[in-house]
Amino acid sequence: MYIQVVIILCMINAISAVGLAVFTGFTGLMSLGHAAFMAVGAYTCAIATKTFGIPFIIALPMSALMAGLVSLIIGIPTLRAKLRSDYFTIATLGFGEAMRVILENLPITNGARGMAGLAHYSVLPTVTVIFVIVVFFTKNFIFSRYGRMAVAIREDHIAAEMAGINLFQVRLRSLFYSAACAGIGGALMAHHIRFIQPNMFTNVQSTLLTATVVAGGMGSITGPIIAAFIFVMVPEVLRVAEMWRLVAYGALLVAIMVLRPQGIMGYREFSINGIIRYFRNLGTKQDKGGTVS
Amino acid sequence: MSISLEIKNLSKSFGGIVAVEDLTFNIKSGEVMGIIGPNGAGKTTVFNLITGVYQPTKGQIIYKGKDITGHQPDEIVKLGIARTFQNVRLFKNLSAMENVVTALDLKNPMYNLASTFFLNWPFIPGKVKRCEKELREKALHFLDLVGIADHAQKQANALPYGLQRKLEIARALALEPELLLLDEPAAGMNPEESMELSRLIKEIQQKLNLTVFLIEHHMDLVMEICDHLYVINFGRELAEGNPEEIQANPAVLKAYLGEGRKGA
Repeated sequence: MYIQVVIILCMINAISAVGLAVFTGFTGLMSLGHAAFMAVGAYTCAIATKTFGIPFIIALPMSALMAGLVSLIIGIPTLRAKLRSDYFTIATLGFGEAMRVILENLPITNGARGMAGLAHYSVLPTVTVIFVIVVFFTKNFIFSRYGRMAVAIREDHIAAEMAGINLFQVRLRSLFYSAACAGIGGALMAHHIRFIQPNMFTNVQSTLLTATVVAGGMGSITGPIIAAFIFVMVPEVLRVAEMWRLVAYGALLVAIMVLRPQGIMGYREFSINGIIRYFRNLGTKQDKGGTVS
Repeated sequence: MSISLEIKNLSKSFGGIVAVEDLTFNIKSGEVMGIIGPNGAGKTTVFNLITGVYQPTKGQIIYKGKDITGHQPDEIVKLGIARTFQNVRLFKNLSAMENVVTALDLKNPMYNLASTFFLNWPFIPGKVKRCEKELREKALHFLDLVGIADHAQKQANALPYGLQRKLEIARALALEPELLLLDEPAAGMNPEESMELSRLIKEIQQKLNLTVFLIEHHMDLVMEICDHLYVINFGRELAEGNPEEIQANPAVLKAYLGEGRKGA
């Protein structure tokens, strides 16, 4: 069903975006190469299930692990050198392209022709369960002492270091986690579209992921999820507008950044309690105005 | 009295510019040592060298008998040296409480990564929630120590400047250091505020049995709380002694307090 397909795509993108939120939104490093980790996840899962006949339930964690391990290849040299964040971003850009070229030239990935005829494992219930698990783990990770260390680095890396935080270790942990999430996203994508080729994981996909996190809010888990849903759904809704839909899509991104530079959710989280508090505060706002010191 | 920190022939140059040259001094455990000198004398560079932000060009830094020259900042903090910064460096978007809790993690790692992922369920009290609550109570104690417990839930950059400085001290204290480095704790404060701060520093130092090493330009504060002073100018040692000796030292008067003036 069409709507199902769109919702599955939303959740897949949200899984990758949530992972990247840990890295970009909470640890404060930009990446323009996360599609490479999606690619690693997608190919690992596809090869595991199709070539080696490994069950999907085992192949999926394998994809996450593989994407995480690959992230160490780029993470260890660049993060150890304490590169400034913009240099790191350039490194990820190169890494993303390199990964695509590697996939195009390996025999096991079937080169540029890609892999077709993958089993249809990414059905709505499966994807929903995995989405919930990923969000749950991410929430636990961020609202813990480990998340706190990451946020401290985002806020001020020198002060964080002087609070006894090992920059390299914490940044690498965030990178590993975000890559693993992207790997899961990629694996689900492979078994959703049932066909993968290296061209699906270009810089455009990486940029879109980073844009999702930035537009959703740097320092929010729910923000990037909302943004991921919007960014998948809007082009679908606008299908009637044909060629103008991509223009509208770009305009939407510009509008979000102009109207809400801090992103849709900013540093906050979307929660039922938060909504109740918001409406309660609406009534008392005028009384509170005077007491702000 | 045992020696806390030993600086031996410490030098640092940036390219051709010599910021600090051949400094040698000791800080005894339990004393308040001050480093003074005109602007650009290299005081903050000394702090950055001690805390591992910069690597020295020459010389040694020995803390409690252990050579810490060239160690990374986070390793040095773990050994028990904490600092504040000249331009306040807080985790701006976090609350005062969270700023302190972040620092508490160092000496109170209460749960591991596995329990982070698996032992924190909504609506169910678990290990992580219990530890977090305990950490917050502990953080409140440190905020109370510097007198800003009332502002625990406020965002750090929404605090007035003076309180931000105190919060930074609270965060440094939460690292449970033995040696505390304060980089101009009274910068931007009026004489009254700086005297209040000097009382606070003295009180905390005695309560927690700390060794304090501070950079300060407010001479009344320096003379009030320092047991020992080290004076540098253009990166070189100018004088060393107790506050009375320093006040009477003609070289210091000339370089720092101004020629022809007596006392501070």
